[in-house]
Amino acid sequence: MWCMTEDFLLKAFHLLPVMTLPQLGFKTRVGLTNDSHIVPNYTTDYTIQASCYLPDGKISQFIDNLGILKPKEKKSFIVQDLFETTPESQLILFHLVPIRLAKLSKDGATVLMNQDEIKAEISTHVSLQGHQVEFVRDDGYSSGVLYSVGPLNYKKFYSGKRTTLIQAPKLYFSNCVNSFVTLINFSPDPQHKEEFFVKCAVTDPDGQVKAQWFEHVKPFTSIVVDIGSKLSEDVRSDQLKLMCLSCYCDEGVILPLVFNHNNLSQTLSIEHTYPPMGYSSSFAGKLRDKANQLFSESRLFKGIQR
Amino acid sequence: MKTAILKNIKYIIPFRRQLKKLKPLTTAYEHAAVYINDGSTNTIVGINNFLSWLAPADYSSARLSITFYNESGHKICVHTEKLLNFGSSGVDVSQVFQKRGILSNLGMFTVRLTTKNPLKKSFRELNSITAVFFVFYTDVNGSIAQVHPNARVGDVKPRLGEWNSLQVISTNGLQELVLYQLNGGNYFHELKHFFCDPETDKIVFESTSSLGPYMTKKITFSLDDIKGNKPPVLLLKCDSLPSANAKPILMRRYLNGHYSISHA
Repeated sequence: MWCMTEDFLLKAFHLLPVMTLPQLGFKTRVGLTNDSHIVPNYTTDYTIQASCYLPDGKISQFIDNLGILKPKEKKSFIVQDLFETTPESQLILFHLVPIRLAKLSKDGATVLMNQDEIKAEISTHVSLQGHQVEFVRDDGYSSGVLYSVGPLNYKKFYSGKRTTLIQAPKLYFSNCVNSFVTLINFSPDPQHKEEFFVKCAVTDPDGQVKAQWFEHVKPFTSIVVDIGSKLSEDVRSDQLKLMCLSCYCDEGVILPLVFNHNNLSQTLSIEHTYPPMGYSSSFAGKLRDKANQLFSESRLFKGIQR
Repeated sequence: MKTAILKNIKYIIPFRRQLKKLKPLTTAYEHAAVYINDGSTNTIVGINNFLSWLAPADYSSARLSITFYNESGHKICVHTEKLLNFGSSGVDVSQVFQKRGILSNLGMFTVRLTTKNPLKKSFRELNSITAVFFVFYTDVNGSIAQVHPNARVGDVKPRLGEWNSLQVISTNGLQELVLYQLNGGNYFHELKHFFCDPETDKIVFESTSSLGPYMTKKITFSLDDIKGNKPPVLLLKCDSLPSANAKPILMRRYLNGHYSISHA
């Protein structure tokens, strides 16, 4: 069945959400790559745009042209050089607007395409091109991660129930090492107003729950959760201890990043989590819905209140 | 015989359908990653009993199995342990080797998670699984790093054609770049890594390696070896990876003695 979508946002085809991390004293640097030439039908220049949001989720600034990114090119930006930032973590959204599609637009903001074409465009852009996000000290030390995301929480692309399931056996604690998770609630749609409540739990290697709580993530915010502060002091010792973070949200899709920080050496590690389908490609549809419900009602989250 | 089959076909087809439904949970493929255990840097493998997350109706434990190879590609030990319901483990590589009297500074390892009950309905519905784990590196100077696995072992073949890293490598404060490259295939593979100045397209460093099956190699580039002005940024390329996604991990060693590690 041929379906037209009149107003699919040009900004939604290819975007990179990043956050600032002032609490740990690092600046944020992004490295954007255009590898669209790998699939010739989708080769395009991109116009780079960026939106900066305040800690409360209100947009503070929008830059509509940070330059053109041609195929095979890379461009690097330090977020704090582009925007005035605050002592709290903020969300910055980089948009790579495909000029090939922008030329088809009548209003400069949206493009008329059918659903199949939209899906093909987005999956090509996202699968071809991860981008680099680094956290940088003034002495040059940097630690980073590569990732790419689709237009999360954009209802014209993701219909139906949207959920987030996080399992992260990557929390480490010692006398000098602490772990954090950042949870980002974003959408390319500026009208996105959904607040998400995320169930969180930390378990030890025996599967015993050591902490459980709700996180409230407002739209267009990136919150930094100090996991060490949720645990008792006995997690601190000379020996590194592993704990596992579990999160569940049945209201929308949250982008998580897990950080470990050594506060003596001021070094940092960052990694994204794996989606459930990375563990089993069959984890989809009714199977996923049923498992999600059971997970949400499991002992990990029993008793926590909003 | 043919007559008998045709006569009973109405029983055979549903039986085959039922048999297919009883297909047990299997392993789709295994990921491989690099361990560093050189007395300065240690490696911890973090993994959870993810069956508890994907099949929460079941409360059973899972069996973790990590197979270690040395730098030359020889299997040196297999570590196994039980992971409880919603349990996890941070497997300290130096402790695993110490218990067995093994000396190995560098190599690769693969991870498998299995269940005693692969025929249970909640597991069969998953069809096949892949163990996802996270590798935590830490050194005596306080550097920390964490990466997820990328490369696979088993049914793999060389990835032909040039591979370009997505990374933009700033040289500010940098002393060395170190690549740790593994070969998850059971074949020999020759490859060349090189770093380029994106402004001039000039190759600044290059190194050719020959990797046998399951071998791991450490390749070090010192920024002091750059002739002339140091480019502010470098790009990493490889002429042919040992298999799809078998990109090296990249260590940035800084002048202050700390490092960070990420997937190249």
